[in-house]
Amino acid sequence: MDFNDDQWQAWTRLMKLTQEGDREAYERLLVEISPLVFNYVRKRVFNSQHVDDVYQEVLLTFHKAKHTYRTNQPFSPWFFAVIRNAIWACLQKNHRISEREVLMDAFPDTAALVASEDGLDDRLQRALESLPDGNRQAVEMLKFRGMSVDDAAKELGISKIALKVRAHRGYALLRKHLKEEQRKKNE
Amino acid sequence: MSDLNSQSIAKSLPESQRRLVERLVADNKPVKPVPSVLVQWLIWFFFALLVAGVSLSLIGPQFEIQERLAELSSGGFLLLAFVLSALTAWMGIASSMPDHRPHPLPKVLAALCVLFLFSMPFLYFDRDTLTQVWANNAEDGWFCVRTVVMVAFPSWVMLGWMVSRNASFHPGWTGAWLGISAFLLGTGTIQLHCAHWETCHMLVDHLLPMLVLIFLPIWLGGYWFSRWRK
Repeated sequence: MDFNDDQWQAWTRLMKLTQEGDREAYERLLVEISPLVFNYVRKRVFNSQHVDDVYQEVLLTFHKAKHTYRTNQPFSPWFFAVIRNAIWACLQKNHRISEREVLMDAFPDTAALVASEDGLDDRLQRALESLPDGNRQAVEMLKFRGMSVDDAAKELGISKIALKVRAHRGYALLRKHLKEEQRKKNE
Repeated sequence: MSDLNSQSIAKSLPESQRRLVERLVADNKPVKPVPSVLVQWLIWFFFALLVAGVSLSLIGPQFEIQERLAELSSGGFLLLAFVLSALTAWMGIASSMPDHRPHPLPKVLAALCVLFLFSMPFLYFDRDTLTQVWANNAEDGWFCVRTVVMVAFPSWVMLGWMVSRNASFHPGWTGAWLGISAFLLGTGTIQLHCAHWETCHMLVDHLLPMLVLIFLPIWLGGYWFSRWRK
């Protein structure tokens, strides 16, 4: 895909509208930059099993950092610097996780007990559905189907480390989703 | 890229990517862009002037301040402390921006300048002993150390509050830069008040608080400034 000056200017305008809260502009911007971000990540992440995870993390970072873009500045240097830093930070994080995480074949059954509490089943189900496919599969296999890391990794055709990274990210997203739902319920 | 093209890209995106886009779009709210590094630094600059000015008006400048400022050694020490404080504040703010590209050169230069500042008491000022410093501190309740910390604290909190809105990829470094900046502001301010231009006193009471306490802004900064990613 070829990106010319007009394209970058269009994205600058979309970014400005995004900062003003325009969801349509943001959707268009995200859709248009997605292939660029994915290719950028693919060229820099050598382990193909991590590409999807890093891509997700990079787009999330872009989302959280978009308030630091100043619309009187060119978009492309800011965009690429953020993407590059996000990839680097994500790779470092993955490296740390894979170094420290201890392999476990059996998990405690506490999840099943907690899930029987009032209304938690539905909330958990909704939270699970909100997860990206890769993360949801990893969480379901390890926590709900009771599979071992080895078996789950084999079934998905990925490495044990990649599976653990996906599951780890899935737990974090689940936690966030449940917290938000609890907060909304309390309000 | 036309709307039509955009729609065709949307259709060609894999399911997981499309869902991520939908989630992010649903979460989009109006945001106020953060001020530039220069504007944030200027805000800090005026705040630092205010903190140093108020502190100095409370404790008063030393009697021979004009003569001290005119001397190359003492004037140079003060100038270096304040200039380094300003530069490290800039570095801290710049490092908290997500598009910041870290480079080893500023770190090496800053380390050399701080090292030179610490070596200045040995090179240019009168010698005293640690026993004298301890006796003085016992008498005045570590006044200089307390003042350094009390000037540094509001400056660091103010800088931290300001840059916590940015999105730092190097929270530890951001905390360290801001900590060095805040302590150097304290060192410069106390040195405008304190008439003891002696080696051990300057090292122990004016510069040591930074070395002893710098882990705090690094540790707290690492936690505070990385919250945006959690």
